[in-house]
Amino acid sequence: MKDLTVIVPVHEYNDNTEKHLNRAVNSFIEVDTDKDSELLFIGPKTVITELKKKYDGKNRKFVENEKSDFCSQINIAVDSCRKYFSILEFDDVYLPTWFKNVKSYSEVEDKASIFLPLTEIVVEGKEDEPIGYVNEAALSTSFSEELGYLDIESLLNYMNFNTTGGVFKTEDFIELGKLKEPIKLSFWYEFLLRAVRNGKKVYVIPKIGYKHTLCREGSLSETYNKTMKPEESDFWIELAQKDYLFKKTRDISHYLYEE
Amino acid sequence: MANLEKKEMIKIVEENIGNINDKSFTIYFYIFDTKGNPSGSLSYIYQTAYTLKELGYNVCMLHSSDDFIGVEGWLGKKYAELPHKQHQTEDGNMKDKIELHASDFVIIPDIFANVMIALKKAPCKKIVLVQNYNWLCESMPLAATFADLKINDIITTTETQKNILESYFPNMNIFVVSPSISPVFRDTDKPRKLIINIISKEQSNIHRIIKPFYWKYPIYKWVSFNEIRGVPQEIASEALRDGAITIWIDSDTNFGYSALEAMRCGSILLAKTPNTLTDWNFEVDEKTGEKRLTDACIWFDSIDTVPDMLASIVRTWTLDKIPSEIYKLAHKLDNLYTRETQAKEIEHIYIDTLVDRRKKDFEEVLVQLKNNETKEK
Repeated sequence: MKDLTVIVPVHEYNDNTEKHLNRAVNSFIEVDTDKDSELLFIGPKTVITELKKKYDGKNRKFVENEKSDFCSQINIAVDSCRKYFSILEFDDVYLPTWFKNVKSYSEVEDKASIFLPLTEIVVEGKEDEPIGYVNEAALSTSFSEELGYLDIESLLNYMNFNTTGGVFKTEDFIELGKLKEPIKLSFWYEFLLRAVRNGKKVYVIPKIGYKHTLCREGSLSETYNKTMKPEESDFWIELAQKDYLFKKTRDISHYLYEE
Repeated sequence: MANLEKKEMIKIVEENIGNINDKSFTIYFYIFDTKGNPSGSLSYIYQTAYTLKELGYNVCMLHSSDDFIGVEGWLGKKYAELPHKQHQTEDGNMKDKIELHASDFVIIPDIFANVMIALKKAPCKKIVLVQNYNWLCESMPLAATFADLKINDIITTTETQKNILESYFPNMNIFVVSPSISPVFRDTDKPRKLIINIISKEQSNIHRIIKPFYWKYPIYKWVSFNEIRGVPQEIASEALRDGAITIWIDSDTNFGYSALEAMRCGSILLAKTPNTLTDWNFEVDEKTGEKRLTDACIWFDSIDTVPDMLASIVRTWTLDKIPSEIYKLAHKLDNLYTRETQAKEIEHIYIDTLVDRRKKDFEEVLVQLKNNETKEK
């Protein structure tokens, strides 16, 4: 997809990262059958230096950014993106037909600004036995008014949505105000609420596009799972459900969870 | 007196020959009223009648339904606008007057053995249309024979049925005029939704599939089903193009219109194994010579296995791992059962064979009558 930039946020580079990142980049190479999508690595200077040695080449970009939190990395990276962008986390993989599916569904659902994949939830070692799905509710005729599309009411009632592997229209992402860095855990949920509230269409393609292993060791989700109490995760969800009404990032320090 | 009768007979035969020559005779089709519900068998009869009308022949659809609903809702206006007559009421009284001439043809479907008996003495040419020989077995009285009913000709829809009918009725002339699939059923380049269509005459089958599927696989409780029943062909074809998978259950069919329609629309077909094979749904194993069901669809013997098969197909589809071979084999069948092929067969059998033979029969009778008249003089 020649209008697509794939952002790879990498905050540290070691043997473990290298192993997973190789796999992720190879999946990008495989899914990019037209060989015209762009790969953009973003991370601290030391990391980018190492990544350049390994991955530099045609359609490759490198952006240095010392801020290590995910939202900041994405918000900076999008300013260097093409018409569409997608995010490939270092320990995840695209499925080989994902870009082809995005291209074909986007030609029909051409009003959408965001295309999300159906995602399988698997545990490490049992990848062939999904234990559930993410983004699946939008594909149910009893969910939203228009099959495949998210709407506010459904989003407020049902939160099982994930943007990993999704393809975003860059211009709309920026116009909406990007991700809100102060919001932890539920920043994508808040973004989706904000997008739909502002008239942007979010379409779930009924194809698995991305393999994301839940709570892989060292991942952000694993960290949250281990350190975050249930009441804290409820707090972030509720905050998202209030804050989506605002495009600009607000000072939320007075809301912040304290023990 | 005998001369007058002979002259009268010669005149009648000459009139009938004239009727055939100038196409002023009528081909009547007995039909059943499905009360607005689509039926492959009924659409076959209407398509035959319409084709003959297009060839310049008079056709008329005969029914005995007091509240006849007809086919406009699901088949279309051009078929509903063919001439229709109600020959009798539902309690057996005569309705529209129909005068059958010797040059007329009456096509009687297999379920109407009572009509075959009622027309035994009628002067017209009677032809039985067998789309499902099981219905013939059910409707024909035990002691009745076609010879008694003065019927010599059967038109059927598949070679498979022809072979079976020839074994039952070795002295009958049996012809095949294939069905056709409407061109409204066609594939699309557009990507599909994960919707599972279900086509089944029995509502209970639908419950037996959907509920166990959701019970056994709650992770798929978001997968939507769509029942295709009683809708116009245009709507049915859109649903088949939209939905990724179609489940079809019709064990008693001798053809399987819905199956071919689904495959033609590019939907993956999960089909109940039929009780009898038909022309398109089997292949002959090159090594063993045995018949086996085609790989163009995925077959199941028992509805109880459907939830497991469906879960596997759904997952495989979402992962884009459905073998392309299934689609290729399904589309290999696209060239069969086209309108064009059927129209040629209709013309060849109805006109070039049956009508022409009828005319030749009249001409032979005329020669005999004239020879007799000459001898008597």
